[in-house]
Amino acid sequence: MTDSQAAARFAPCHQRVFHVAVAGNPNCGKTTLFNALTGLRHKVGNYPGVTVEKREANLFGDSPIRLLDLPGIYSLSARSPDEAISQDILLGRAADTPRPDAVLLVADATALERNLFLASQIIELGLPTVLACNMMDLLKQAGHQLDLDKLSSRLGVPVIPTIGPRGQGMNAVRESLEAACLSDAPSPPRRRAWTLSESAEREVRQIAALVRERGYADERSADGAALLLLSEDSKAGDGDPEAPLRLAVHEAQERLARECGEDVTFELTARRYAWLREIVDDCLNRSVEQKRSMNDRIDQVLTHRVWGKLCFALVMGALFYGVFALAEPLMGYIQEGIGWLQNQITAKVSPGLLRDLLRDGVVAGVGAVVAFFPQICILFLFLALLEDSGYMARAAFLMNRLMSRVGLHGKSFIPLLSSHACAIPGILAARTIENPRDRLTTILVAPLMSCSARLPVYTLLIAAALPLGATAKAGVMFTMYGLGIVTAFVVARVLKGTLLRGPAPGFIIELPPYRLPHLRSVLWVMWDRSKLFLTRAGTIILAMTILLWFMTTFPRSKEIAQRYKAERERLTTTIVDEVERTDQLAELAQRASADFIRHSLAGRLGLLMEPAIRPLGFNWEIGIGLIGSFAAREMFVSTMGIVYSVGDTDEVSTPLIEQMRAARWPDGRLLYTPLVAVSLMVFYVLACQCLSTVAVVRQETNSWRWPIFLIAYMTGLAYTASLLVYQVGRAMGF
Amino acid sequence: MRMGCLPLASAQLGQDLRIRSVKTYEACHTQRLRELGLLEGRTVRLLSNHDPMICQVGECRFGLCRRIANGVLVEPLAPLHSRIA
Repeated sequence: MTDSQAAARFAPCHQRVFHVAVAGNPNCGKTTLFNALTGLRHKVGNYPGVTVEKREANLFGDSPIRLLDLPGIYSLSARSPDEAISQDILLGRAADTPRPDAVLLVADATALERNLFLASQIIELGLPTVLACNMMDLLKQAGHQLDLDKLSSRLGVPVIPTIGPRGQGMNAVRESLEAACLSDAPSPPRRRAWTLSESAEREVRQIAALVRERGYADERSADGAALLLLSEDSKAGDGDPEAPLRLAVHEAQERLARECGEDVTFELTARRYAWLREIVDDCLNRSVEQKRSMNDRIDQVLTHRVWGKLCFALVMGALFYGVFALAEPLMGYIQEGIGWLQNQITAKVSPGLLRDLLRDGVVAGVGAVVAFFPQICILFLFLALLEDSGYMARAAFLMNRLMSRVGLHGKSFIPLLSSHACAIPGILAARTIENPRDRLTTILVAPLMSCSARLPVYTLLIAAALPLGATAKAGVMFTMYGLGIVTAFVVARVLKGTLLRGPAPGFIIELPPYRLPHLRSVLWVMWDRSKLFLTRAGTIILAMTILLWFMTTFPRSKEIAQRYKAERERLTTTIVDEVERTDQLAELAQRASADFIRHSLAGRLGLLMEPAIRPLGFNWEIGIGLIGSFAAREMFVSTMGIVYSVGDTDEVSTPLIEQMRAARWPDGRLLYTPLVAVSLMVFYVLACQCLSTVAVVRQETNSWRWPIFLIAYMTGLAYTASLLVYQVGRAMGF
Repeated sequence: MRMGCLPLASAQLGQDLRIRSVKTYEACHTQRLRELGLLEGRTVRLLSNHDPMICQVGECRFGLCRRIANGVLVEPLAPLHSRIA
């Protein structure tokens, strides 16, 4: 079907948008396929007040189909929150998401049987479904042959062969999805092709009838929904509207357990797998030759108790060094560009408030943040490479022992590692953890990981106050990250021993085969995530910057202006030596600018705060930065950009780092001593300064109790630690 | 314990083993193992016996902590060719 034909077919119902959910196992190449099907046009959805990853995008071409990316799961039985979310969406029970019109299943052809487990559960929900058999190239490489037509007829859904990274099969997927969405006649309820024991079938029928009666699911999906309910834990939580249904399920489970002497979940899983094995044996012509040796050999080293850990340390070291060293030249270019822009504004815009707002507010503030974009990109590039190559699961595997010592487990490792990019996806990644206590512990310590918004703060402070070489600078950075990690472990240990006491969790993780990362899809993922940083710079940071500029500029004291004007005239007329006059004037300008800010609204707020933060070594200017940081941490950098350039009468702007090096206390002492920089960094490691994180924790824990606890413990910890660092450092003579 | 059965954690490395029973200390782990394919009657092979250990079932490879692996009882399959040192 050509594009124009497709458009013609859609013409009568052009207003209508079709929602298609994309589901599949973890590591089946779903993200790459999703990106290939949508291009880079998808939006990370905004839930009210927060940015939460809800990836939605239109299918490529002029298609009325909108794809919604579901989390990667192994089963639809709701035992962890991501499974519960997927099930609710597919049954049309989610409050904020319409029931999909169709489903696109993605299955890894090289592990077909296990992938079909989830696929068959979803097919049984009766929605029009298309199965994308992904990684067909790897299947072929291994010498296996898959009869797709037979698979399609056995499963009762269209099957499309795809190779995600190469974009192969995308047109066929699109045509199939369009056909599935457009089929006018409602398909008759599909009959399940496998059966249970007679008594189990009887119970399934009864639950299915109850499901229909209560409107839990519709006619088509009642049987599938009943199977899912029977395989779940049937204890109803408080205020569960489905308590009567859960009770009926529980009674059925008890009856079957008495009758068969075996858990019904076993029968459900075993019978489904027996059916799937028969299908796979029927459709897949396996090559006798087994080519796994390469994978085995790599795994022997990378999961080794000693070599594996050494490799892990090397990988992490490379990551931090890369973020620091590779980004530096790129950051230099961006900073030069910002300087050029400021000079252009100085030259082209007539002097006045507008010029000051543009140059000292918008460009200085937003520019200070944008300069860190290369670092963010490199960080996300590394993370994407780790994920795509299959190493991430090995890292979690290696970390399990360490994590279990503090009462967490290897599965908490991935949320904690993602939190180094941003705490929000990290907290959402904790949805894969089944046990609520372990999940809550992970959520509460994830914000202690140094996220990418802290990176600019560390970099700026290190550059401005620590006269060190590149390697030593990376070392300081490493220490800051380490501080966050160690604190998180200690806090987790304490939480698991007190508020969230419970047994050490069990650990099961899939170790996917190693795959050579595909450059395009890695870059896609990198761009997709880094984009958010730029979006933030263009929206919230920009808005806050403008607000902050107003707060640092107004009210503008006439008295001060006149005093400095008189002073300047006096200097200009009395000093004859030109060099000396320039110096004196520059010094005067700096004093004037400090005086102006001191009398502005922000300055007054900062001064109000100063007594509280002075024991940490911070002055009122840093206080303004701290206030700004509550909107987003990188606002510190932006605030410093504004604080040190408002009222800056120089025609050529000096770089922020130079201005910070020149900053002093009123008595002439240097403000940003190495000790103050360390104290400030420690504060940033530990403090909870991110409104979005608080909102996500509120959403994920469904209460205000935990977010408030989070703010209290983190801020308390940050203040105490900074106080200790500064006071002990002072006493030691730093 | 049935005759000839032993916990997965104590099995010999690299040998083909048949899973005889899956019953971990928490029902949710039992169900998860079965959904992943570590199911009664399947063949499994132990690749590493540290904690966590690595095992291979069909095309898939999993890492399991010892406590969970202790709940998987296996018996050695008759070796196709006996290895005599």
